[in-house]
Amino acid sequence: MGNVETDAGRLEVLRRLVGPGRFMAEPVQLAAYESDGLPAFKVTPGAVVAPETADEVVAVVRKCVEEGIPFVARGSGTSLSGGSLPVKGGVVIALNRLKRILKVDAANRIAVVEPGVINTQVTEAVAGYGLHFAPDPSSQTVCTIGGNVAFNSGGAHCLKYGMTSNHVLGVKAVLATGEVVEFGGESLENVGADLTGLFVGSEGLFGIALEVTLRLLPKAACFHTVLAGYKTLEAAGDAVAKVVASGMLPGALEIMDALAIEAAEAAVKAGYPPGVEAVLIVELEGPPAEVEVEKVRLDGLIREAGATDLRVAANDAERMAIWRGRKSAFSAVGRLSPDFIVQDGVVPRGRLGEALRRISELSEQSGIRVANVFHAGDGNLHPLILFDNEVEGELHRAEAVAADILKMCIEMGGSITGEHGVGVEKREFMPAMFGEGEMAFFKRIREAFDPGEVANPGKMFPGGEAPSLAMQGLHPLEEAGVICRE
Amino acid sequence: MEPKTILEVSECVRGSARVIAVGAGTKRVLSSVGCEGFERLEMGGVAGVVEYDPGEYTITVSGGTRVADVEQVLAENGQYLPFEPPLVAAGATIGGTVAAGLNGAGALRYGGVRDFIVGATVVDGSGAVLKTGGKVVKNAAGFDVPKFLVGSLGRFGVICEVTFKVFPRADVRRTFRVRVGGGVEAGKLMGEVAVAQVEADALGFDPSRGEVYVRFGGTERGVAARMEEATRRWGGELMGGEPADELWDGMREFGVLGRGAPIVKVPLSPGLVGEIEDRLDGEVKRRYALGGNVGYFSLAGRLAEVLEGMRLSGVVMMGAAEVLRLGVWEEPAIVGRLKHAFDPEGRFPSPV
Repeated sequence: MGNVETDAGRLEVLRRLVGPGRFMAEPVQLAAYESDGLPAFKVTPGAVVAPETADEVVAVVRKCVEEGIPFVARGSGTSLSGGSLPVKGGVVIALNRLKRILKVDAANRIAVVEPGVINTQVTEAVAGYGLHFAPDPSSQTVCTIGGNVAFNSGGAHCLKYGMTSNHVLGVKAVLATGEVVEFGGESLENVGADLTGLFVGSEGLFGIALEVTLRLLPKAACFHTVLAGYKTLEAAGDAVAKVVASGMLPGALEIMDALAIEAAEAAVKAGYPPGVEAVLIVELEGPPAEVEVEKVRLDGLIREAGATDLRVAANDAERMAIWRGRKSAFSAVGRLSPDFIVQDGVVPRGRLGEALRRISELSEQSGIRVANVFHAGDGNLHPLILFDNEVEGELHRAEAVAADILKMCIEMGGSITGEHGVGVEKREFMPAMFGEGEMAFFKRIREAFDPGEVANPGKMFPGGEAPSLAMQGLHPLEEAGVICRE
Repeated sequence: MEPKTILEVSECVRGSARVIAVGAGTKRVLSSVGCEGFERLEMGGVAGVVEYDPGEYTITVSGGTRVADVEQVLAENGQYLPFEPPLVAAGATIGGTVAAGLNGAGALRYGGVRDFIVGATVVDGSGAVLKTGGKVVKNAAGFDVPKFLVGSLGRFGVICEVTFKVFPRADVRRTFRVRVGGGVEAGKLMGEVAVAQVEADALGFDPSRGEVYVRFGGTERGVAARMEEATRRWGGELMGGEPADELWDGMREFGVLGRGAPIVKVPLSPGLVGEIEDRLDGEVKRRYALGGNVGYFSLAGRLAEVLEGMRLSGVVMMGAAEVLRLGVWEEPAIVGRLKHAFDPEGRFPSPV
C-alpha cells in the first residue's frame, strides 16, 4: 500500500458515484468514523461515502482499485479489534444504507440480506416462520451482517451452532480486483472449493459483500436456563468439565468471575447471587422431550460440582434476566474503571482453569485488575483488563498484561482470537501464531483478491503504518517494541 | 509415490512436475479426469490419529486415515463426526472426504464437512508445509483455508492433516418413513419437517420407492416423544432398527444408485425437488438427501440437459466419466488467481 498522502482532491472522484449528500469530507462529518469498538485508536479518513445500492458500492470499489485509494468497509463500527478503523486519508465506505432483506424463503430455510442489515433484524424477519439466525454476538442489536461476515462473528452459542461462517451459504461480493462474484448459493451443499468459506472471516481484505445468503434454523422449542453460583472459579470450571464429559451439548456455557459480576450488578442490576466467586450460566435448548431428560442430568452435575446457589428460569422473562448480566458485561466494566481493554483469546477448554490462574497471577504482579467473562464450552476467554489512563504507567501495564495473555494462549495451543478477529489490535501477534511460511501464504492469498492492497490495508498483517492513538505520547506497545511507526 | 510422513509428502511434491494426491480410490474419477499424465501421490501411508482429547471436542488425524478408523476411535469415546462421511465401508480416507467435499445424511442438522473442519496442514504447490486454522473449536485468526480445502479436489494442495470438531453421539437413533406421491409432495414434506421443532437429524427421499425418510437422534425418551409428534403430524410408520440401519448405511455407500454408474452430486433447494423430478426421465436413478438440499443422480438419460435447463451445477463423484462438470458452472477469475497463490508452478491439476 505504501503511504497515502492525504489529498482531498483525489477522493473527489468518488463524489459523483453516490447520490447527493452521500459523500462526506467535512471534519465534523468524519469524526463519527474515526474509531470503532476499539476506542484507544483514532484515525481520520479522507472521506466517507454512503452508497445506497449494490451498484454504487461496485462503482466506488472499482474506482478505488483504479485510483489506488485505500478503503475500509464499515457497518456499525462495533469491531473490538479495530477492524473498521479508517486508513489515514483513505475512504470509509459505510454500508448502513444497504439494509434491505431481499428474500426470505422459509421452506428452504434461507434469507438473502444486504450487508447493512442488523444481526437481530434477521431473526425478527423470520421468527414468524418458526426460524432464527443462530449467530448471536453480544453486539447483535447493533452489529451488521456484513460485519459478522467480515469477522466470522461468534457469540455464546458457538459450541453447538458454530460461528457466522457456518450459517452463510453464499456471498455476492465485489472483490478488490474489481470482479463481482457469486460464491455458493442457496443450498447447504456446494460444488468446487468453498470460496464462501474462505471469504467469511477475511476481515475486509478481499472486498465487500453485497448480498449474503444466510442459513436459518428452527427456533428451539424450549430452553432450560440455569444460573449457578460457585465459591471458586475452579468449581465452576469443574462443573463445565463434568457437563462436557457427560456427552451433553448445551446451547451455551458461560462463566463470569467476581469482578465481572460486580460490574454487571452495578450496570443492569443483574440480580446474580451475592458473594460468589463465579457464576455459571448453562442453557439447554431443543425439543421439549429431550430437554426434559437432559435437564435432570444437568442439574445433578451442577450440584455435584458444589453450586452454592442455583436458579432455574421458569419463563422467558427470567431467562432474559439471567442473560442480561452476561450480555452487558463488556459495557458494564466501564462502571468499574475509567478505561479497559477487552481481550479475546482461546485456550483448550481443559486448560481454562490453568489459564485463569495465570491471568490472576499476572493481575497480582502488575497491580492491574482483570475481570473475566468467558465461553466456557469452547475455551474462549474475554479478560477485561481495567486501568485508569490518568494514572501514569497504567496503560502500559495493562497493555503488557494483554500481551502476556495472548502469548499464553498461543503457548497453550489455542488462538489469539476466538471471535473478535485480528484487525489492528492483534496483527503483531500473527507471526507468533503462524510461521513465516504461513504468513507468506496468507499474503499470497490476499494478493490474489487485492493485488493493489487497497482493501482495508493495515489490518491482520503486521507492520505498516500504526494508527494514531487517542492519547498523548509514545504508545506503550511501541515502547515495548511490539508495534512501530514507519 | 507412497509417502509415510508429511515431510515425505513435501519431498514428493517438490520432486514431481505433475502430481495428484489420492486416497483409497473410492471416488477415482476425481483424480482421473483432467489428471492425465499426473503422478499419483498415494496418501494411505500418511495415516493415524495425531491427537485426540474427547474433553476438547476435537480430533486431529493424518489425511490418509481411513474414515472407518476415525469413527471407531471416536465411538469408543461416545463421540462422532456428525456429517457422517460417506463410503466408509468402501475404505474412504478422511483427506479424500475433505477434498471431495462429500457429506453424509447427518449434515442436515449440525452441518457438513465444512462446519466441522477447524484446522488443516496442507502441502502447497511449492512443497511448503502450511499449518492453517488451529486445533481449537473456536478460532478467528487468519484466513479460513481449511474451509476452502473442502471440495478443492486436490487441485490446490495436498491435505496432510486435519483437525475436526466432534460431537457427542446420540444415545439412540430412530427412523420413520412416509409414502409420498411424487417430487412435489416429497419436497413439501421435507420442507415442513426441516422447519419443525422436532429437529430431524437426517431427511431423505427415494423416488423409486416413493418414500421420504426422517431420522431422529437423541435420548430414548426424547426420540420416542419426537417420533410420536412427527408421525401424528405427517403420518408414516416407524422403521425397525435393522431396516433403518440398512437404509442409512446403503445411502452412505451409494448402494441405492448401484455400483459403477457415474454418480453426479447436485446441490439443490428442497423447493426444486418437485420440478427436477418432473423433468427427469426414468433412466436416471436418483435419491435426495439433506432434506432436498442435495440430489445424487446417475449420469444417464436427460440428466445433463435438465441440469442445464434448470441452471444447476453438478459434479461427477464416482464411476467412469469424461468430464467432472455438468450443468452450469460459474468461472470467476479469482479461482485462477487463487490457484496461482497455492500452486504457482501448476504441479497440481487445474481447478475443476
